[in-house]
Order: sequence, then structure tokens, then C-alpha cells
Amino acid sequence: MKNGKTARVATVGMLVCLAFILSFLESLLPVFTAVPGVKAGIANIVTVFALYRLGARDALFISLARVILAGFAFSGLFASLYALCGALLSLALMTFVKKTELLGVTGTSICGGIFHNAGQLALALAVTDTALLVGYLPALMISGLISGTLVGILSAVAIKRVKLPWNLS
Amino acid sequence: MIKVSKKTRNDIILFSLLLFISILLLLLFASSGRQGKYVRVEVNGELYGRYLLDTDASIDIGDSNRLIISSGSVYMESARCPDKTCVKQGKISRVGQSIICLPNRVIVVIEDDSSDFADDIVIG
Repeated sequence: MKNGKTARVATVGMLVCLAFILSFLESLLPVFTAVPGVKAGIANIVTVFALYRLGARDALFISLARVILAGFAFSGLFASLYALCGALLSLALMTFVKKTELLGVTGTSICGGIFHNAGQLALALAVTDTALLVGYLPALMISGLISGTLVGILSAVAIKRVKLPWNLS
Repeated sequence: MIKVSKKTRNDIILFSLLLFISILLLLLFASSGRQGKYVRVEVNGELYGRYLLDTDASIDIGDSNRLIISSGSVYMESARCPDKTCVKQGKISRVGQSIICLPNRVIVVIEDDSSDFADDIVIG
């Protein structure tokens, strides 16, 4: 109990670092970018893990820190605005879905993946002021579905198996 | 029969449902594939120019993007932005297809004679 806060700070710091590294790996992946916004989203494994193991508040912090760090390091300010919009919407929905207790980790992550893309698309719609972007909806939805599923399966394994050397609850 | 928890079952239902919806949407969007007649270029939500698709041309959009019309299709040859997404989007030629360059706020759309798409564009 005495070390609870320190342990939490250390864990969150470590997870921010891990998410940052995964973002870096992702920026190296030559994903086909015929459609803007399509990404593997492997850094979201950390977000989902944090949401389940630490709670929504820490997950939010880790997610924000990652987007800001990655924005400065690789993707640029413009792209990170989109990432921010997607990350916030995605986390908000995942927190809600987790509360309903209807879905497992994978289902929660699928919702997150799709809303990540929906958030980016919504911002793009607001910026460009054109209805034509709606044409990207199916592609973004499928990409969100696939990456959300993969992230969900991997996160579920991590949530179950990763042992932290301290008790956080 | 394999025993799955209720949550896992719900996950699978959600996945299938969303897969079904997205394939449906994809088919819906892909079905409107007629060869276009015009190329409409918008910058900042305003009309920049309208060009014939069957006339080869090289169009400079401001000093940020260069658009090439060549043998019935259009592509962005170069762009002054970090991600070059619009260049990677490749060639388009069918009605409703578009190339979008978000950093420079350039939108390139293929239109038909009647240009039923033009009515849907909100110019702000």
C-alpha cells in the first residue's frame, strides 16, 4: 500500500515508453497507404492493456503521451492531430464498452479500432469541409476492424499473462 | 461443442456483424464505377478548376501540388507535404473517385457529365 503510488508511476512510465517504441516500429512498417489513415495500430495494445490492468485514467494518460511523443518524433504535428482525435474517441468508447461488460477484450478493441478511424475521418471531414471523404468509410472501417481484432487478441494474451512485480489494485 | 464464454460469443457476433456491414458498404461504393468525364479540383473547399479527363494535361495547383491527366486517368505527380499520401493514392478515373491531399487542402474528384456529385459538395 505504501508503495502503491510509486509503483503506479513506474508502470505508467514504462508503458508510455513501450507504446512509444511500438509507435516507432509502426512508423517503419511499409503499410500500404492507398488510403490515408490505414495503420496497423500495434501501439494500441498498450492502451488496451492499460485500460484493463490500470484503469481508464492511466490509459488516457499513456495514450495522450504516446500521441504527443510520436507526433514530435515521427509523424509530424498535422498527422498527430488526427491521431489525437482518433485516440481520444477510441479510448472513450472502449471505456464505455468495458463498463457495459458485454464484450471481451477483443470486442472492446474492435470498437476502439473502428472509432479510432471514425475519429480521424470526422476531423478530416471538419477540416476539408467536403462530403466526398465519406468514400473512405468502408476502407477505414475494414482496416479498423482488422487491426482492432488483432490488437484485441494480442492484448487479451498480454492482460492475462503479463505479471507485474507489484500489486496495483 | 466448444464451450465459449458469453463475452467471447458477443465478440464473435460483433466481428461478423461489422465485417458484413463493411463489405456491404464497400460493394455499395464500388458499384458506382463509370468512367468519368471531368476532373474537378478544389482547394480550401472552393472550386479551383474543372478539366476534361480525355485531354492530357499537367496542372499546377498553387505551388504545392502537380496533377497529371494522362490517357483518361488522373494522378498526383508531386506534392509539397511530408506524407505524400496523395501521390501514393495513384491513378483514378471513375466517377466519384478522389485524391485528397489534407495538408494542402487539395481535393481532386472525377465527375460525370451530369456531375451528380457536385450537388453533394458542401462549399464552406
